[in-house]
Amino acid sequence: MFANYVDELHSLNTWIWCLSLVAPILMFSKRLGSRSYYITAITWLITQFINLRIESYLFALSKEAGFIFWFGSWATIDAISITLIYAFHVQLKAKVEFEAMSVMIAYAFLGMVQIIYYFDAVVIQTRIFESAYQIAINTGNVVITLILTLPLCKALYQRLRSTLAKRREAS
Amino acid sequence: MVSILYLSFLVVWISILLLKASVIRGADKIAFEPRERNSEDRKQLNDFIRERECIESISDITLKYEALMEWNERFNLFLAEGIAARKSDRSQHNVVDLLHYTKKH
Repeated sequence: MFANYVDELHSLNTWIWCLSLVAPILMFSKRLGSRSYYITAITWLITQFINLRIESYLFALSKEAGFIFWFGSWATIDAISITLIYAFHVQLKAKVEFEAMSVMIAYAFLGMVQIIYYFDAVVIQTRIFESAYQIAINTGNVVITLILTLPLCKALYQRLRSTLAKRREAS
Repeated sequence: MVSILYLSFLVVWISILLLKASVIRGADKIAFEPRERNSEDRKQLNDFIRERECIESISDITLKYEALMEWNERFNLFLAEGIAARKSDRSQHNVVDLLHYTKKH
């Protein structure tokens, strides 16, 4: 069951990129979402793009120079993402909304997983968390995408409700 | 040793940022002004303008006054509904246009 779950998550990860790109664009086209939402979405998209671009180079580098570069880089990207989200909020005097806070927590979780797995697999060399690591990283990405899609679903649901209410009033 | 120190620094850094972010939590401003969704209201407004122009062309002063009073009553109601709708669901009755038109006449 777990093996299937990991496989499904891997294939799902390909679609995550598309969904997390489409959701903010749809939000923008409908003029929905706060500044906090867009700060979070843009940061997530940029880091996802960087992740996709550097993955192969990073793997080659860490094979030669040690896996601290692999785990350390992902954890650093997560920390930088949190820093960017926070810094933009401060710069624009924006409030941290539910989506931004949730994504920051998810980034923190992803960073911690990288660090814990580095200690587990490289420092102590027990590899207890091997499958947990794969599941956690992929699930973290899915959760962030869902968080970014949530306001769009909420707005669509509200619009549907108001349309139905208007029709009921008209009839 | 350096790697352990660096990763520990990341843990501390992330924790500090999360704590700082939790202080500025709250509801933020909408990023973009909503587009006008008022084609129906625009049509209604045009009807009002046409009707008003017809009233203006009435030569009998008593009939004109009565028609103006009646028009004004319906127009104010339309205006009030627009403001109420804007307050409740941010739908855009173009109140500025309406006010501009009433000032002109």
